[in-house]
This record gives sequence, C-alpha cells and structure tokens, in this order.
Amino acid sequence: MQEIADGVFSEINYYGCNVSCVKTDDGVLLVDNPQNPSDALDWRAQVGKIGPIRYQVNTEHHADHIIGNWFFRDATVIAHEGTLERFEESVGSPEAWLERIRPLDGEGVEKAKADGFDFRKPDILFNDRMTLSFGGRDIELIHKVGHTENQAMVYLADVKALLPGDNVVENWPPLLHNGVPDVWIETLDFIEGMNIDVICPGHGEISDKSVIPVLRDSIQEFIAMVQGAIDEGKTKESAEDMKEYVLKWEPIAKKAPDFYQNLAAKGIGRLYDALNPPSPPEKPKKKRPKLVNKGEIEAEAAQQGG
Amino acid sequence: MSIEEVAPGVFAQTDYDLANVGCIVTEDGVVLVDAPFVPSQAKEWGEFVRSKGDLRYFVCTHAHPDHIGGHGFFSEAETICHVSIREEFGRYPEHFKEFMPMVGKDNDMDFDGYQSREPSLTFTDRFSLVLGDRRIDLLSADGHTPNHTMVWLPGDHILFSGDNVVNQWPPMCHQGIPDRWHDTLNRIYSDIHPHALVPGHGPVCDATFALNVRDILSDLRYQVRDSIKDGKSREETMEAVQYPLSYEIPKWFEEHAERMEKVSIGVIYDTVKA
Repeated sequence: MQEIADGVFSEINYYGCNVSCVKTDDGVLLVDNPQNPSDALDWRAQVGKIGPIRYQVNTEHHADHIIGNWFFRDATVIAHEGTLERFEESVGSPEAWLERIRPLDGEGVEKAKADGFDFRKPDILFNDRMTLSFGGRDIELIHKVGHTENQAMVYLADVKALLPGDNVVENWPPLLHNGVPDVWIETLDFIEGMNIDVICPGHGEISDKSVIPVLRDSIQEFIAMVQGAIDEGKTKESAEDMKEYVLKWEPIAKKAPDFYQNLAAKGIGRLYDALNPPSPPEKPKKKRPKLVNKGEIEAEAAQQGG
Repeated sequence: MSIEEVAPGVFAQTDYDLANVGCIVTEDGVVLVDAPFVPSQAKEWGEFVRSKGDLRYFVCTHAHPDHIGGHGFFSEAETICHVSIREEFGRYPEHFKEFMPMVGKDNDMDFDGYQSREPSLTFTDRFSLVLGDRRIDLLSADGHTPNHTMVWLPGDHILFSGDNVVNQWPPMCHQGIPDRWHDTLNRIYSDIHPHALVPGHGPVCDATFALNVRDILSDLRYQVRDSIKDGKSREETMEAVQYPLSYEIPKWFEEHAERMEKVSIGVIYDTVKA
C-alpha cells in the first residue's frame, strides 16, 4: 500500500484491479475491492488500521471491482445506476464465482465460504455526479462513459487525485467488451482538463496525466484496426481473430492470455457491429390485395345466387 | 395528528402548518422527506418516525424554510439534497427566527435539541437509495425552484413532488422557472404518472393534480400576456393579475402568500417578456 496523496492510499499488487482507500476524520471510503478473498481480507486488515470503513465505491460492474464488496459489507456501497443493473453479468452466482477463482485462491475460497460469501450490491446509485461530504473531505463521483457505460470516477480536488477505475489504465490494453471507444476518448480529454497531480489507474502503476495520451493512442489504434478489417471486407468472426493484439501488453500475456484474448474478441465484435451495423432483416413483401369494384362483387354474388 | 399511510410503510402528514412531510420505512431504516416547519410539530413528527426505526436519511426537496428549516430536529439522519442547495442548511435555526414572525408562528419557537446538519450526500440529476427491498429514486426537476427534488417510489407508484405539485395551495414561482415547471408537470402526469401523489402542500392526490397546477400556471401566463398587450408595466401587471384559486388559504398565511403571489407574477411577466 502506498500513500499517493495526503490521506489517499492505493494498493496495486493484488490480483485484479487496483484498490484505494480515502481517509477522512470520520472514517474511510474505499474505491473498488480486491477480487480474491485472501487479498480482500488482507486489505480489510490494512484499511481497518486507517479508520472505520464508512463507504465503498464500485467504479464499474466487472467482477474484479465489485466481488470483494462482501468483505466490507457493513459499509454503504455506492455506484453508477448501471452498475447495479449489470451486477451479475460478469460474476454469475456467488457459488459459481468461488469455484471460478478456486485455482487462484483455494484457501481464500474456503474462508469466504465459511464467512457466508454472497453478493453485496450497491445501496446508493447516481447517474451523473454526486459528492460525499464527511470527515472534513469532499469526495466527488463523476460518471463518464469509457471502459464501460457505467464508469464512476472518484475525484479528490483537495489533493488533486483521481481514482478513475479502468477509464485510465497503465501498461494495460483498453478493454472494450462493454465500452464505447469514441466516447472513451472524449472522457480522456475531460480528464486531461481536470486539475490532477496523481492518478491511481484501474490497472498498472500509479501515474499522472502523462498516461492519458498513451491510452488515447491505444484506443485510436484499436478503432483503426477494426475499421481496417471492415474496409478489407473481413467478416466479424475473422476480425475477432485479431484478438491476440492484447498480448503485446506484457502483464496481460503473463497473467491470463486466454481470458483477455476472449475479452478482446468481444471488444472487436462490439465495435465491428457499431461501425458496420448488420442490415435489418428484410421484411417479407406483403401481397397487395386484389382490388375489386363493387359492381364485380355484386355480379359475382348474383351469379352464385343464380 | 393525522398521518396517512399511503402504502404499507409510506406515510404522509399533510395537516401540519405549511408544508407536508413524508416518511418511508425500509428494512434498513427510515427515510424522511422534508421536515415540519413548526418546532412543536417537528417534535411530534420525530416521535412518530423514530417509532418506525432508525432514521437513516433526510431528503430535502428544496431550500425554502417550510421544508428545510426543521431538519435540525432529525440530525441523526444523513442529509441528502441537490448540490445547488448544499450551503443552505447552515442558515438555520437563525433564519427561522427571522422568518417565523412573518408567518405568525413566533409563538412556537422552542429549538431545544435542534442541531443543524450539513448534507453529506449531494447529487446533480438522479440519485437512488436501495434499502431492503425498497428503491427510492430522487429526481431533480426544475419547477417551483430550480433543481427541485422529487422522491419517487417505483415499487409503490408514489411520488413526493415537493412543491412542484401543490393541492389547495397556490403554486408559487417566486424563485421558480415557469416554462420548465410546465414541462415538469407534463412529465409527472405523462411519464411518471404516480398512483398516489404527496404534494408539497395539501391533501394526498394523484397524477391529475399535476395538470391542475399546470392549468393555474397557464392561466397566469395568459393573464400576464393580456396585461402586456394592454400596455401595462411589470408593477401594474403584478397588481392586476389574480391567482385563479377556488379555495382559501389559512388566515395567518394570507399576507405572506399575497406577497409571494405578486412576486411570482413578476417572474412570469419576465418570462413572457423574454
């Protein structure tokens, strides 16, 4: 854990996303939680020394950001309203999740089970901006579309620190399986205009604004790659085969290459559809009913009657 | 005291002097909507709502004294409001002491136990609480004031409209945005369409009462337009235009209400002129 700004602590070495803790005079606020139970328990012990845990913010709905909420369940959970809607999208059921991470943290899984592990969903939702004012600090939450459509970024104007979740990543690919690339670029422009000295990205090393142009280039390259595939006449399926581009980011290649290639393929497919929407199915042509005039009908009736 | 249970666990008190107050009971505590204006009534309401559970949140619909002033009697609850009124809470109870004589309530000024509490949660557009199996949406909607907060219970189809809808009470826009208010009232009727509507003042009603308020505002607008056509000045218009009301307001509030009605007509005049 490192203190990246006055009273703002971040841990970047857990499995999954980076996590942070904001200290106030009246307890702490957490930003995302470790996904593996052993890491979550370690984090709980560390932040518990800083102060009582009052609030936890989920910056998005992906499993690595939300699933650890259970270990801090007495603290109020805050998220963008879309994060509650999609809460179960990437985690399935609590039991299925634990089985999925058993190979990573078998001991932690057993501890989680003994602790009655369950989902801990948000209690407070917002759609645009909100501010928490407690313990002498104003903590601002800003919704900006990017890595997902429901990203919440945490901003501490008093120490010029931004905790943007995966809207900013360092030495990590822009994963767009639930994202909107062109709006993400607008969000990066917005971040560049903010008064910021330090950023704890969703993945990667503690950074500053210098990481923004690098990420912007990566997103633009991704868009160009998918557009290029469309221009070459590639099908969606063959465009998705370009998924191995994510392996050029070393942490991805080391960590879980298959998993991230799978996400990359989904991201390619999503953008492919956005840039080259499938044409709507042709409507069956209705047969125009034969027009007959009243005289004909009457004549026919008379004939039949006769 | 007359408290109406609008739906199981959703209470409205519409008989207090000046504004209505609400109380939503959840498995995770109680949420309050506005606070009684008169200290003795705030204390009485306090006894009732505390009998329903721990006070978790106090939602303020807008920063007029009759809705926000009593908040200090419920200071154990976290205060939620639109970001635009976050600075207003610290003015109380001192502001009360100036305001109460204006509305003839200076004989009820016991502020024992009052503790002003700054809002800890502010928002810009939409904000929701998910407490137990109840969802409570706070919707910002310009009208009686800019960024007026309405409290919507989608599971029960109940809306606490604040003063965006009033019943048997003049809709005042002395600090409002008449055109946007018109849009908000259409939204309440057409989009939200609550089965039960707890107005900021007056008895519990339904979505159609949003149209009543809209009609009063439209009538005022037509009167103002005609007055401008007749060449009347702002001041002359404020004197000439009459609120089309079919009910009486409390005697002790008449003088203050008349002043606010005139200012409201001035605001409508400025809108029509613009």
